[in-house]
Amino acid sequence: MVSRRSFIKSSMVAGLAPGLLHAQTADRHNDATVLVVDGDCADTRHFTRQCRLHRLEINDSIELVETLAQGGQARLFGLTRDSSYFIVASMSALHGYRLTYHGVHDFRDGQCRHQLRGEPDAMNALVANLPPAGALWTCALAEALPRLGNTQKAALIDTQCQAASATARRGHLVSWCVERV
Amino acid sequence: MKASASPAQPIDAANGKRALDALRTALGKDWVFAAGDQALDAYRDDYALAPHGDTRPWAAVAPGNLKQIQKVLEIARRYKLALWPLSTGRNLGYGGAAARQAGALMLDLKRMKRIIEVNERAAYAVVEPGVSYLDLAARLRKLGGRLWVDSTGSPWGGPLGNFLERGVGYTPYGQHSDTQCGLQVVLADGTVVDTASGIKARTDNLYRYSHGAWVDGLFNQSNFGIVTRIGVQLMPAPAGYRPYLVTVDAEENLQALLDALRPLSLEGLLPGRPTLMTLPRAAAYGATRAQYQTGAGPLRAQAHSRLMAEQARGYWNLYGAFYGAEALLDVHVRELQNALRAVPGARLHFADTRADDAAFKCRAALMGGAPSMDEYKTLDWVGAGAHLDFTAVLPFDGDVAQSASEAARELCHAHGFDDCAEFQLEPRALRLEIRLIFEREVVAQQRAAHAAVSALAARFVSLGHGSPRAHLAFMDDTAASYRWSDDALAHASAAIKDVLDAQGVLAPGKSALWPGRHSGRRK
Ligand SMILES: Cc1cc2nc3c(=O)[nH]c(=O)nc-3n(C[C@H](O)[C@H](O)[C@H](O)COP(=O)(O)OP(=O)(O)OC[C@H]3O[C@@H](n4cnc5c(N)ncnc54)[C@H](O)[C@@H]3O)c2cc1C
Repeated sequence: MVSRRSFIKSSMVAGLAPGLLHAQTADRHNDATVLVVDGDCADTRHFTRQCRLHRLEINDSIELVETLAQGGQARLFGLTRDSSYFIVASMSALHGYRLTYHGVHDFRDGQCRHQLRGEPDAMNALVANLPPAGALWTCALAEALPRLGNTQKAALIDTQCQAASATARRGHLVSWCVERV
Repeated sequence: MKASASPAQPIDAANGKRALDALRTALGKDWVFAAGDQALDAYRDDYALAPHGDTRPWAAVAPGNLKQIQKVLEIARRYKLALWPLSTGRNLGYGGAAARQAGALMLDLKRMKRIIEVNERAAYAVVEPGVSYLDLAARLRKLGGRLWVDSTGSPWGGPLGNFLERGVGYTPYGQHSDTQCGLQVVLADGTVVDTASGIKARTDNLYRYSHGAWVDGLFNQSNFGIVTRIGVQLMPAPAGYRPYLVTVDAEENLQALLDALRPLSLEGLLPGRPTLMTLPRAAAYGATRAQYQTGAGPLRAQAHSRLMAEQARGYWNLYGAFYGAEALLDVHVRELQNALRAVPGARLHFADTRADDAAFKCRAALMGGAPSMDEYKTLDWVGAGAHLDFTAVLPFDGDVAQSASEAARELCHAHGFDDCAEFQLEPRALRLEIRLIFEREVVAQQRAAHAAVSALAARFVSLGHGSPRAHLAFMDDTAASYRWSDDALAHASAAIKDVLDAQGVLAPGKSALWPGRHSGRRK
């Protein structure tokens, strides 16, 4: 008999990335947070000590969510392009995850504009730390990771800040956290 | 006949409770999602368009088999509910998982996801509504990969829902209306129809026709039944495969390019669904707009030149592929090279020189029977992107295409959008898909995309070009453009609707088919 949860999971698909499942089950720890980064865009050096890291190709995103959800993963944190976020968010919602933090990082004219939405205390800390970090804003984000999400508080705030400088790369990245409810 | 939306009859509280109780008894409480259930949030258009208004459903149900669908239908008829079927529910760009209007009971068929049969000998599969292209591809891979799946650029959608939307893929099996073989349909009164044979013949999914009227097309882009099973022909993996790219720098050489390709296309020497993309459309696979231009408004000439130089592209970029044994591939390539001699500035490229071309990687996968989600990256062009498409069908004629392309570009630019169009080449016709990529959370952009499609539709109707597929918000307007002979086509469809679904419980307004619209016809 198919359960309601497995119906929800039934929207998941069997995979595009056969290697992923193996890598996941080989992991001994079931850390609270897994970090997902777009293989082709994010500078991830600063994150590796904070949590388990998955480099994501957009074609892996569906299977990644399924695998992590099946493994009982509590939180996924990501620094990706919006398209990967869109797919992960859509699939993780079907697994009962909820978005608890969302940041937009917009690079234009040598500036990086951050627009953040999340739990108030964590956002206030980020607002204080991102602008001074300038081009190293990903470090500030990495430090804030443990405080992002992981909250049952429903209140979200919107906030914006500008970094004094940014990497040369122009474009748009998003950081996000989805948590199992 | 004026086709316009009228809101679904709201069900009163007492009847609503009775209907929900009946649904829970029929399906089990786990499979009925009513107001307050978070699961109901999923039935929306993720690429919403502000002017389209509210489409929130009243409730949703997820039957697990045909008998339960019949029970839901019985309850819908009893309580006069508007039922909106969904298969995988990924109709992004055309309305997503939303209904035409608010207040519907969503009939979510995702639980029905059996791959009923894969026949390797005769190269077909029979699948249920919840099966995605990714599911089917995974099964075929497990079986050894001797058969290919023809996927869309959005493979978490599935063969059944895509066929019903008259969708397309990119291998030689890419016209999904042509490769469907056999349907099982539940009519509004609960009758189950099997279109391929109905006598359980051994040719059910080998031969498309039974005896008498061929009705399969009736269920395509309509609301005449609930489709519960589809036969899909699968392409045997060919002996060889060679994807290619043709680039042409000058916008004004579109005419020469298409006129050179037409004879090849008619003779079947351009297999599959070669896709001719404008510069911004092709560039968006691997770049973002902000890398080339900041600020609003369409890309300027300077940005175009930089894109062309850095990505080694033309303004026109034709992605296609040849299939067969090596010797045959060589012949095909020679034919194409000969034809391209007539096109100023045309260059032919193959995989060895396109390693950095993200569009090539995605198109080569799709044309090679491997589903890819890479097309979603094109929406990063504007940051947090979504898209709305306007599609028109034109004769395969360079002159007509050149004017249509200029009209499309002018209107896209006038509404602040880049010229993200593509021509999909069919033997005799061109399917022009004009994509408005907009920031999905920005209401002003949603409005601009909506306004751009309205303007495109009006212009293309005036040029005499029909549109074969429309977003929920444009279905009525699109249908109204097919007005020949006092709306005879719409009346014929309305008459069928009134016979097959007299109460109008199935998807009111889908493809502008509203119940009860036939009776007023002037004689
Ligand atoms: C990046 C991107 C790329 C895309 N590329 C393509 C492409 O290459 N080709 C293409 O064709 N489309 C493409 N699309 C559009 C769309 O995603 C696909 O067409 C998709 O297959 C449709 O969604 P679905 O299969 O989930 O169908 P569903 O959403 O399940 O169904 C679509 C509609 O069909 C009707 N319906 C569904 N099931 C039933 C049923 N069982 N009985 C009766 N009626 C039913 C309903 O009206 C429903 O709203 C693309 C979209 C995006 C975002």
